[in-house]
Amino acid sequence: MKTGIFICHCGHNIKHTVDVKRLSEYFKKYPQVTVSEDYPFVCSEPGQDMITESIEKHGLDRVIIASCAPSLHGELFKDLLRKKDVNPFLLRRVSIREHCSWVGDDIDRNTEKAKRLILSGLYGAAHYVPLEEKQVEVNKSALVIGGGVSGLSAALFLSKMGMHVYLVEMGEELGGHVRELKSVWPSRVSGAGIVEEMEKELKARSNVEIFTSTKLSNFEGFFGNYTATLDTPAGEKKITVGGVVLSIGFSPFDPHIKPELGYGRDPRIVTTLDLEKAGDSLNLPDKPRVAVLHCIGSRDEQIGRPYCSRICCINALRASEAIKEKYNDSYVESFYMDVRAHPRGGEEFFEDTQEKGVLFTRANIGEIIPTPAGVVLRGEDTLLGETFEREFDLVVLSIGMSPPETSKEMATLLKISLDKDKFFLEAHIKLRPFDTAVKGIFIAGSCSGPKDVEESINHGRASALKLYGFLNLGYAFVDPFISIVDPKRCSGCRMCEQACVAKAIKFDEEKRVVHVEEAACMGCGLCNATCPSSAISLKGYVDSIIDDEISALLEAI
Amino acid sequence: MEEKMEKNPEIVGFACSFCTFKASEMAGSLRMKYPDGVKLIQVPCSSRVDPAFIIKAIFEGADGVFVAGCHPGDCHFIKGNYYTRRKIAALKEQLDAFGLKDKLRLFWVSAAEARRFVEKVTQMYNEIKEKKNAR
Repeated sequence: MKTGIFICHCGHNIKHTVDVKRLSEYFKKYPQVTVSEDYPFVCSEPGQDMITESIEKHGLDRVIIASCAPSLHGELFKDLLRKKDVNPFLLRRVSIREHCSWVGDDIDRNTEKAKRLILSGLYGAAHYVPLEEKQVEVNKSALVIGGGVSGLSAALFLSKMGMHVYLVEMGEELGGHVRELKSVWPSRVSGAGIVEEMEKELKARSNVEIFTSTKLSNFEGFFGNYTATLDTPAGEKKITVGGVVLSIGFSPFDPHIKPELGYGRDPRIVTTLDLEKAGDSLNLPDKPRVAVLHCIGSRDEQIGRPYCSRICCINALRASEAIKEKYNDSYVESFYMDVRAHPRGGEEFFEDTQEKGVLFTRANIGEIIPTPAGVVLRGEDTLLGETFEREFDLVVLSIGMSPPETSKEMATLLKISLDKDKFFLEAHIKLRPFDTAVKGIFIAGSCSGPKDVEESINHGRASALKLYGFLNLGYAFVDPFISIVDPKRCSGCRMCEQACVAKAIKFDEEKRVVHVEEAACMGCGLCNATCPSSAISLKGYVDSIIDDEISALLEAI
Repeated sequence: MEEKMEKNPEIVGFACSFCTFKASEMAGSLRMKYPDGVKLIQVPCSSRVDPAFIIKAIFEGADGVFVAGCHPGDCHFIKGNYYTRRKIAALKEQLDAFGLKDKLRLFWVSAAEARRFVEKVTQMYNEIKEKKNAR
């Protein structure tokens, strides 16, 4: 066996707290190690060249790269092996940055830890065997779940690129929350106008099928060949799709959760959405006194919503502006924690609103008490440190975004993760913001965290583009980490068959042994741990690999 | 009185690649600190952990072993972590007979919970360290 170990300095990131020279010297004593080098940036072009040259020069059959976490640069390093006709599954990545140099300060102890981690990589990789990536055919069609702005833009994009699109909407009509908006900031066009334009364009296309009042009831399969069961008003319908864009949006925060706000107990306490719908029907005096409250259901840890909803400051500003424009002599006071008018032009809008005469008071509102004369706000001015009580004719609550009500249900159906706030979790917040952990399932719009209309449309298009990139190839490679049965060892006890969640294990009545259906196996390894005869192994994570990794972490060296 | 050398425990952790391993990556990116005695082995799912691995680690000198997976209900493989929970509970009973029960722990850490990961492993490390040095 000829192993090459390449240790990355990552500039100062690793070198600063790990003695990389000592490491590369240390591993030279192992007989299976042919090359042991350290280099400032292994991922740089000269670094890559160093690896490919070493593979060629020494005929390496195992490559160990000790650098950043394996989720970063995974394909990049695999490609180096592919270039030199070495099976990419003979590569082992050892994370000595995220798991070592960044989490400890002592250089000696960090170096010892890095030594152990690389050793476990070395021992584990000794049991690696070449694996073949499986090529599967991809169905050139997409399922878009949720017909809000992000879903509509994703569906439109995919359909224009020639993919067959199924658009599923839970409600009776497309458009989501945007349809209810009378004017969308900053363009001031109506929300219905935006969605109707997209809807019209979509309905004119022949490769789009739209299902309203429809729910996803079942979802199974794997990338390129997912089978979705739709619960339509006309009955159940099964479709096969290559991938999914999930854009189920958000639920507006329900102010009933905070009873001290008095919402629902008095018609003079409304949300920004109510105000939008009410329009002219508001019954206000000529010189109304109006309070606008920011951050309702946002940045509030007590009710489990510690995040900023991003849209509500602009909504609050819009509400105050609208009232000021309609009632010139009105008294509008805005109670805020911080004004985060972050979108382009937002800060200018904030200043405009102030110039129009809206007062801004930094305050915590403790209680809202409806009285016959007016609605009394009781709170604390956080700049002056004084408590106050003020009377208003109307109180507008600028509500934030809560995760969609069906997020948990959807996460279970699609087997994707939720973040701590119950929004959908992206694969990587910076590098893969549209992907989920499941290949071929993308998230778009505010179901992955609060977004405004512009961002949602962009997010929808971006996810659609990423999905299109996968589907258009017509084929895909899937990880070969699936289970395999050794029929000579199998006793036919069928314990694995019961354990397998994917129902990938089938019993052969004639031979009295089980076999694995490769296409269905998800690669969890449960069967491997269950089998009393050690007859099933999960490729890439076979018993001997993990056994030796344990030894490497603990044996005396 | 001569001061005794402090003994540092070795802890082996089996981390599910969909949650805990990701959380540990994030903990690193956020420069959170935890003891260097904690070392991870990546597994595709916590259910891949054969009780034999845990026993092997304890026999080979690990002061503590933990298995960490996704929160109940959040398993990428639907219910792998339920199997893990039952397996670990059964194994703990066996280990109890040998007085080794405290060496094994199971906890749930989601991919977003870097802080929880660090808290859990540090707490485990400190408790085991205290016991180790009390002897």
